[in-house]
Amino acid sequence: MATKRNFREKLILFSQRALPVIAFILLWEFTSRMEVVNPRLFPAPTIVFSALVEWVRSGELWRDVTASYWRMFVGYLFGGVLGVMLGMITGRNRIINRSLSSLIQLFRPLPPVAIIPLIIVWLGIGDTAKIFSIAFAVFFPVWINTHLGASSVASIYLWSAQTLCQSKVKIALRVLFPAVLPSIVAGLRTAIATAFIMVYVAEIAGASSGIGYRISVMHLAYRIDKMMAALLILALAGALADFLFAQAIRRAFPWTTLERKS
Amino acid sequence: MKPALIKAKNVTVAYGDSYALESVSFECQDGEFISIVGKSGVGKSTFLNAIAGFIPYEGEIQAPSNVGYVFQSYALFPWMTIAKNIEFGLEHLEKTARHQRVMEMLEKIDMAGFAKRYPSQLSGGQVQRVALARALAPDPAVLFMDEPYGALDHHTREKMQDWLLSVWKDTRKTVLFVTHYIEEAIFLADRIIVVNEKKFVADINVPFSRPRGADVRFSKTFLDMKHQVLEYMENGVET
Repeated sequence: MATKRNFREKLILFSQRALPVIAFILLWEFTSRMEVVNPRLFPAPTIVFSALVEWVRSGELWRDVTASYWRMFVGYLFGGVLGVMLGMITGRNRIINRSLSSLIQLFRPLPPVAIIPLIIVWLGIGDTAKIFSIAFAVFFPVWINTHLGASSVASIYLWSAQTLCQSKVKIALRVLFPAVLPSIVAGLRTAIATAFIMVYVAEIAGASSGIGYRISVMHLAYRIDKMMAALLILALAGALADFLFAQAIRRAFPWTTLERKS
Repeated sequence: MKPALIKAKNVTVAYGDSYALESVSFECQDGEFISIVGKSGVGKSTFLNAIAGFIPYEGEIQAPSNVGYVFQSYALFPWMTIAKNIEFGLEHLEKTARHQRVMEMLEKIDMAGFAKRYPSQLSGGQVQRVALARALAPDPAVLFMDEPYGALDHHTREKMQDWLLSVWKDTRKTVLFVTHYIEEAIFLADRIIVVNEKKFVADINVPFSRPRGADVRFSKTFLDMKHQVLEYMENGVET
């Protein structure tokens, strides 16, 4: 009985989530087929799907996705690690905070995409330039979140730790870091979206592979169906990265997702 | 007479231009259970934090370095299981001895089956029981408790007070217990220090013998003491 009800609840939940998507796709297909707008500018989902299949068969999809993911991953790693490290330091050390924060704050309001032309001049259009641009953009949200988290850790956690343990290294690793972790995770999660924006813009600015590159080439070829297929893949890649990040956090730090007992 | 375990002389704590505590002196003997009672913001917790060495102060303080501390909020590390929380202060022990001590403490607080749970999976009363176990596990010379039951409902708080006394009778640790509940202060302690406007205004001996049952709370002496402490808390003097 309970299983039956459980199945019914799941079915309702699935319907609530899936129905709007199905309705949207059907409406899109209908609008395009009825030629309400020019179908060359607004191809139907079935046409976009065919373009996607063509992209997969040519082997270019795999090459483009791996190229984009690789650039994003390396840039994200560099920017994220540096953001966490500096955020912890500026958040906990007043002197270093005074010396470094004003410098960091000077660059923070800069739209990261604005530096891409300069980076291309300095580093060319290879992967290094793209990775640097992504790392630059990722650094700021990670740093500011970590900095704010580290500077507002409840003193009681650290006082409790001091009464129980003499080792400052142990306190830093097992008390301070986990206490700041929710802020670090918030920064890293925001930075995933930033990294996707940057990889896309950096690839448009000059590349020979990648999803951004594919969109820009298809734009020149006026293949709207392929552009839309590439946008779909970009959106899915972003959603997948966010999902994997959330799963990794849940597994690595189970206490962050436990329900509080009332 | 034995030398005092904790001695504070003319201790003042200031935050900028304002005082959190003004020239207070205090002594306590080994094994005493002392309640520090007063309204919110009068300097009770500040005194405890100064003795523990958490905040800067003026004056003299002599206190053991190995203290256990139980706080009202953020009592446990939410990212560690119950067992890991208790184990945190036991790094000086071998792995087997550490595990043994954790299990011993969990049994003492009747929570042997909760080792792998996280604090967020416990009730408020259970969290405070684990917090006490964690503070006692390294066998500190003195235990500081800062309004540990302040967030609990009346019924749970009274149950926790009974339970605390039952644990305390086995260890006979020196306890400094901060609270703003007068009944709690009288029921638990041997001595009550009343704080009013950043100063210690009274040092009252509690006449009840131990063990104390629930009937103590309804005795005339208890009610008279409650009235006396309230006078000191409100006016700084007994009227």
